[in-house]
Amino acid sequence: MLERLIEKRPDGRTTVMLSGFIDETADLEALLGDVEGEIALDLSAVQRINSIGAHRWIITLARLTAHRRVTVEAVPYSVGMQANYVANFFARAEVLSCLAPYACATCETSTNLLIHRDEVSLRAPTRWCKRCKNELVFDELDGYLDFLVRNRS
Amino acid sequence: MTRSRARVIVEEAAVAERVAAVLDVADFERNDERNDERSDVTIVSHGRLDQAGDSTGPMVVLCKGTGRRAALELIASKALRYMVPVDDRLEDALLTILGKLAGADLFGLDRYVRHGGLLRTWTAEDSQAKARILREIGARAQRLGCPQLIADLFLSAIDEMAINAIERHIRAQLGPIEIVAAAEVGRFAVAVRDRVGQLRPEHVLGSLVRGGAQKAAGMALDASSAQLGFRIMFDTLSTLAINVERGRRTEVIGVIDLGKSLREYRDTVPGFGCFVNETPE
Repeated sequence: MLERLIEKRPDGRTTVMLSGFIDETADLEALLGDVEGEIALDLSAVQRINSIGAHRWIITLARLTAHRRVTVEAVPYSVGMQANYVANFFARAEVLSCLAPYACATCETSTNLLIHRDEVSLRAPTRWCKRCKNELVFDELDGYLDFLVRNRS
Repeated sequence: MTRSRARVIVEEAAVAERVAAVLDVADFERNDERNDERSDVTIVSHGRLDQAGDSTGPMVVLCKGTGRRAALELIASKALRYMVPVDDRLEDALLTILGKLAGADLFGLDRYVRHGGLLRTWTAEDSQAKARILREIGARAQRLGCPQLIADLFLSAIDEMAINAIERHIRAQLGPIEIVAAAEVGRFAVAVRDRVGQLRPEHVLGSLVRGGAQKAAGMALDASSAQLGFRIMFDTLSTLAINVERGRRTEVIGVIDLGKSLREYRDTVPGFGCFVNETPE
């Protein structure tokens, strides 16, 4: 099940936070179709997306971004994976940030950390473990962040 | 009864020794004569594929050190139906494939969890049931020590396996599908079974090719989501096996090997097998 939380920002933009599963049960048109003006999509609470959901997402984003500015924030790992499979996954939307997997070799822990597209050059930005203060290892293949930087202006 | 014969084209001596040991256990006779049509199967390193062009019968490709992406491109470009990663599970994986190619029953999880057992069987008739089962499988994965993000990848693959099967059953009015989980130390496997049996290897491999093309060209708004679904399965599992008894039943098996970091897991060459029994009893 996919749900939304809408918040109006002081700058006039509307934040839509989606939470749950983007799958064959998700009615994206109902969740996003009535939102007017510029939209900031917060995907941090999306838990999983399947191929049917991805197909619906691409159709909805193509329509949603045709004549207005749409930004996407905090793309979770499960969505980022699929975004890398399909070039037009975010249509004309600007992807600003994602949650990327990092691991601490010392503490043997894994964590998802928010990274902004401007921080990414040829490789993932450096992050440090909150507990032991050692540098974290980016826990994915180098191409994982392609979806974040491919539409960077 | 004549023994099955295998032609072996393997470059590394250590790997060739391991293959020879498996052939003994599987009761295959080695036959490396070129142009000999009596070979029932060819086992070839991915680096020597060009030497196997004159082989007859199924070809099992041993793939080492290419990474997942290159392995998937190889499967797609050469339309390979059987791939075995050269890792510490080579013997088990090769034994499984040879056993099936030699005529053993194609179906069942026991060949993929030889040292473990069945955990649970579910039935699912719709998306709600599928969601409930995925939650239970996710909880099992965590109890087996699977890192959260790898468990999420596994669930993505099972989601694709299940939704395809449920849709086929709904169209054919066949009632619920069956989902089965099994595990052993370091390995978790799930099978999704339908009673349709219409999946074809060329469709699976074609989906992988077309799904790969979407990375550069994008997805057409009227395209089938199945292409993306197979791409997800190939890209997120340690092993993907597809068993088809034409017109009778399909079993799609997804396996994850535990004990790797996410990065290692994502870069591991996947095992793959697509087995079709054309003449159901």
